Amino acid sequence: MTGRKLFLDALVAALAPDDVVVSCLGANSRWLPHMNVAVPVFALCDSMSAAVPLALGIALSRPDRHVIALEGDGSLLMSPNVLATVAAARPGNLTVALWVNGHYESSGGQYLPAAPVDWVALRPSFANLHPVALNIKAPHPNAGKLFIDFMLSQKGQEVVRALKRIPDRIDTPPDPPNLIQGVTPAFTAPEVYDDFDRYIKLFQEIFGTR
Amino acid sequence: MTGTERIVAGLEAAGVTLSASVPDTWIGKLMAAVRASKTIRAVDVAREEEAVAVACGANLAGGRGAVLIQNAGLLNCGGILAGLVELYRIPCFFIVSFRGDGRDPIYYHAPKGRVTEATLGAWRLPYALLDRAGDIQGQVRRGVESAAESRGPFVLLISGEDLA
Repeated sequence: MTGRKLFLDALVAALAPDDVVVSCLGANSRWLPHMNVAVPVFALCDSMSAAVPLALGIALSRPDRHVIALEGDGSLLMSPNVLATVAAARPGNLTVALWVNGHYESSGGQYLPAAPVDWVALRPSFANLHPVALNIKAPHPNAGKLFIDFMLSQKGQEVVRALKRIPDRIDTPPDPPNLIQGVTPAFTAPEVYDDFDRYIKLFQEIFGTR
Repeated sequence: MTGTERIVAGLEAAGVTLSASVPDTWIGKLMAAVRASKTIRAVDVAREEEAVAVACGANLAGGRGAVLIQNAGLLNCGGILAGLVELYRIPCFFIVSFRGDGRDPIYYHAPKGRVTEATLGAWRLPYALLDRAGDIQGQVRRGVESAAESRGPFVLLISGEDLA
């Protein structure tokens, strides 16, 4: 059993019912059709470097599904431009898993061009903006402050969780907890709120939301 | 209606949901109109082969994808046409700007113009030249439907004057 098969076994075991798998040519596609996979799998046997854009097209057309593209370093080196395309399209439901072994494995294990190319995975980031404020003309400002205190408390965040939102406190995990698994929380500096409109605009520009 | 508007109306009428593109001067104008569509998602890609794969992905996922590229880009697409579109019989409708034919005023496109139809023939790609005097919307719609029904590629060649 190769390391690849072990990984594929782990991947298949971890698939959720709404996942879709698109695999690059070659080594993975030799295994996947013989495995018992409970979700749709499109295992390319040709079309080097097509897996990621094909998965992107599926992801954009089916926002209700999570699409996992399996790609190799040789394939991605042939068209790394696709990473810019994916970044521009901002799909929230596409995950790319990259095999990095420095070889064209499916064609006999030849070396990739020997330049020192490396692929760096970005740390997962998670933006969760739940601003809370007290109106300057609030008729009962102290009651408002008490309410804000409650909202920021663990108990208040449990209410947020019950509303199917991701809580803002690290001691109040979301439901299910794996929604933010592996994500390092980063906290906003209070000064941000002095120029909040600008940051909202920046957030919308970067993440393509309105 | 301008030719551009008629083409986009044809895409909409044919149920196109996603349009992937690398622009040239002409395709750029068309994509600007596609972006204004309420029913077609415009996807900017960096290379034409990606556009083919993205459109195929849309088709596999129950949508209808279209590829909007220049003929230079179509010439790049031989591998993916054979290895994805034809191999898996995925509908894939192309609108391709026919640079370098007799109607193109720019000299440096001429070599692409000379090989475009010969390449389409060699690759056995069904294609048509848009007839601007005819029903533009209908020609686009029929092209999309032809790709869907044959489960393969269909190429509609357009010229700059078709967009006016």
